[in-house]
Amino acid sequence: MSTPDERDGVVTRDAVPAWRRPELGLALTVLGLGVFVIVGTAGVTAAASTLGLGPRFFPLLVGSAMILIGVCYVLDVLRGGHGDPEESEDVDAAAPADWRGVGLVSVIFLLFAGLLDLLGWVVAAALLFFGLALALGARERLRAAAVAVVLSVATYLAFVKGLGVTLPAGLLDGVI
Amino acid sequence: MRMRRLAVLAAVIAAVSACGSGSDTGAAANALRIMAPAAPGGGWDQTSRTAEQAIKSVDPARKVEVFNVPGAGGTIGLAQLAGDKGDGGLLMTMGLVMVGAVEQNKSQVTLAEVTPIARLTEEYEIVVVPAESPFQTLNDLVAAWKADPAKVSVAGGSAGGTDHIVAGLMAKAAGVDPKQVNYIAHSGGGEALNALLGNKVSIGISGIGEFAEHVKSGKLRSLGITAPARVPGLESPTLKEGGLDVELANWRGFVAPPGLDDAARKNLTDLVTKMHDGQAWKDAVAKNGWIDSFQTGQPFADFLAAEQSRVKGIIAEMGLVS
Amino acid sequence: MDSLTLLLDGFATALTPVNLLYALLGVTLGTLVGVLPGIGPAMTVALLLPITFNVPPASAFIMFAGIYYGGMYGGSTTSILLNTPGESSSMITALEGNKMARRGRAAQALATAAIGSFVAGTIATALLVVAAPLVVDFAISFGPEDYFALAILAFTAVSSVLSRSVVRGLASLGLGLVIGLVGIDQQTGQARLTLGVPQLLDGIDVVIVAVGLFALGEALYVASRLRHAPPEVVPVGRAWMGRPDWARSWRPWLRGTALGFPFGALPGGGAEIPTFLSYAVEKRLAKGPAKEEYGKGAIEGVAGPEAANNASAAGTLVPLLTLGLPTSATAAIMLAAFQQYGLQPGPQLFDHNPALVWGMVASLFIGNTMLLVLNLPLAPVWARVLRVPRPYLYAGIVLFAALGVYALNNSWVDLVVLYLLGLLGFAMRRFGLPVAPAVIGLILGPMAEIQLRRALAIGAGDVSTLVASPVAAVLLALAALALLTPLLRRLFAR
Repeated sequence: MSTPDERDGVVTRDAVPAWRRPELGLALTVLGLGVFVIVGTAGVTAAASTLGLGPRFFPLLVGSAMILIGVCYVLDVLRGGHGDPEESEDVDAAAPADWRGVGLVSVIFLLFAGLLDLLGWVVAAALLFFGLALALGARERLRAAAVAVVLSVATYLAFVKGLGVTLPAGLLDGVI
Repeated sequence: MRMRRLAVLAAVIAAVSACGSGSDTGAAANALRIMAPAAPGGGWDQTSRTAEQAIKSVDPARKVEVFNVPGAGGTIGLAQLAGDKGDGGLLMTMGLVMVGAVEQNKSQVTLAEVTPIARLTEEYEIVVVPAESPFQTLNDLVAAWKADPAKVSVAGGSAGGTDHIVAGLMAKAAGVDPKQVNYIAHSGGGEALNALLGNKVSIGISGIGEFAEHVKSGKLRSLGITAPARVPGLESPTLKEGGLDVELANWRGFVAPPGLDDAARKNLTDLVTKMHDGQAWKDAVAKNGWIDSFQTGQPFADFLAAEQSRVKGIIAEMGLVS
Repeated sequence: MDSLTLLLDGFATALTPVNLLYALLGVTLGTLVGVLPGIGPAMTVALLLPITFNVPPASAFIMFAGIYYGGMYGGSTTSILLNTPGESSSMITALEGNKMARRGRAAQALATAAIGSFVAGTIATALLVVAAPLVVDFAISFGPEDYFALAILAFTAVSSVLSRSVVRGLASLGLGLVIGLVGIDQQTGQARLTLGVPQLLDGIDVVIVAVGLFALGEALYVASRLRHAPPEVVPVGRAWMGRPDWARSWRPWLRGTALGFPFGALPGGGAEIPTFLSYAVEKRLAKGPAKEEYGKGAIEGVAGPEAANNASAAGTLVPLLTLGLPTSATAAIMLAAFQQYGLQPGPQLFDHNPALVWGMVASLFIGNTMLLVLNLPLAPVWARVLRVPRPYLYAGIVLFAALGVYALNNSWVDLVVLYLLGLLGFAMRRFGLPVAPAVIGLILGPMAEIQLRRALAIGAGDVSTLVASPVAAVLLALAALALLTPLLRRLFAR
């Protein structure tokens, strides 16, 4: 849904045109979710509890509402309406979207999710922190690495040894 | 370039850790892990952690560790257990609720695959009405139920859980279609208790422990318990005395991963038996108000199989599985 | 008078050095776990239960009470500073609190949260002493139809104040409702929208959604448009609440307390609804420049919900102690703790174990004071967290978010769900969809559905049961009013 806009010809004065199409994507997602809810719960059986409302009533309600809202949203976007991107101190609202940054953060996080059980918390979390800090623009790598290791070891000790929360030990099983 | 640094770092850490873990294999042979297939705080978690303490007290040298794998009535933990084939150092706490959850969630892994080890405790269920209720005895309830099942709202725990199964069995015994039971699921005994104290529902079903105090104080009235005989300290007839042939114990026990050889199975059974005979376990059972129903070996395996077919039957009759 | 002497005895119990130490341990632990999403007071008490087996009951409960209150403080600190709500009850705090922090008013936001929590906690504990039996009678008379009406009221009150663009606000609300549908239907045990993934059978935890939308969504958003110019340093600003801050805070504190306490006592009321309502009320009541500040960091929007949150914690203890009726996850675990000591909360508890009960009540006052004393001087220190270089700050937020979410179920599936929700949060930020309605829809949607179906099932399908109780009728009327007021106002304005 996040393909960059190619229709550079359409320019309105107040809006940045490149947003139009991606926002339409979100609006269509809302619409699509409405359909998904209705279709997805169509097969739910309501054999038990014959009284009152079965398990399909509420999804039907939510799904229909979502379709209605989705249609309005799509129309709104097509007619030129657009939401204001959230303002934040750390965000340069005028900057063009940096898909490389988003992609990098995504890859690092998903790798972390996939490798956590194998590597264990200490290693995986340190790599997560280190990778994210670099992806988000940290310049001093050694410092980032040091902070990463300290943070991951400290959290492991505090929550696993201190509180008995279960986190995977992974590679360091038996060492820590 | 960044990525290469990252890879180097990963390799170094991996190498260091590999050295470390190599030195630790000797101690692991004696270690026992107990899986509580529920979040901390629930019954299975409590049983697991109590067992952890009790095993440590009879076998101080052994390293025992409890870990939680919550979700979907324990079937997520069950699936994980089935994946650890042949692991002789792993036990999973489970009980009647899991038998129902396996059916209802159409779990890929069933309890037929795992290695039964022991049944530990059980608790009976109690059927109560609010003090203001017109139902004085079980007969009053049965009469009203037969007249119009919709008018009798039954409060209890989650759909398909022990309380719901009792409701289904009672309806069946009373000659009411189990599908017609107007069961109002609550997220635990506390919520159901509130509905009863507020006189919002006709009857309530839960573990004896949840309601006993309020039966004693007179806020609730017991119509019957699912035990084979009366329970000391509680003034209540059994359902059987009242004419409904329903007997059900909400039991808890241990199972081990599939594919255990006889030696490993005996090893675990001996350990659990030793724990059961120790003073720490006896104290904990008394303290928590559990009923000791220890059973191991073939009798427990048979019991587990029988419970599976019984629960499967009633859940289908209640229309809970399609 | 009688309660007073007993309470004084309770203070005598709680003020012994050993018990003071347990209280300190409790509030410290509570604050620590409150900071982490996912690991909340309920889980902490559960994990500590077996360890406290040999601790005398009075001391153990003094510690548990400290954990409970400490968790509330910790949750708001991360909400304000990092936009990462540690508990679902401090999500609303993040809305204005984090905005305040980013404008250099972190110390004030933390202070109003801490003092508000103290005021609310103290008043509510006093109410617990005085009004317990009355509150209990009221709470018990609440039926499903009343809860349904309550959910509808909270829905309308909140959604009518939250969004500028109606269609975007509703779209966000709908997204929350859809997420809330995932999982096993509680009434019939049928799976809905789980796509065959067993980990989704229990639904998507509120904490994962909140953390995904708030924290991870923010990190992705920041990554997408990183400020390449040297970042402006967030000013730490004045270290203490100024006169106008006090003037704007005290009324929301009291109103928040008034909302929070009764909701805590209601089974199913919880801490979330009063914080939503408090936010809605404060926004409605705001006038002049304060009104303009909403969405940019209005102090009322922190003071009110934080007070409501803490007052509801005290309210929870009312039905727990007097009836043995747990109304929140933490209360349920505390009930288990009582039973571990062979004690059954209920009317008899006050007669048989006065030292324990009143010691615990007294320790609530003490723990609350301790938290204030600990946290107030720390507010400016905490505020400096915001001066951590941005790459480290966001990497750290994601690390803690991942830790908390993983610890919920020890499952990597949750991490993937977290990521997907983070993407959604990113898209919502980028296209100006407000995040708060989604979270509210997620919490209130399932509650509205369950209570509606329960009410209808108990009434054997008769729709009129929904307005049969006076409480429900009044609440629904209020809800209609909340919907109609903006329309009427617009009419009159013309």
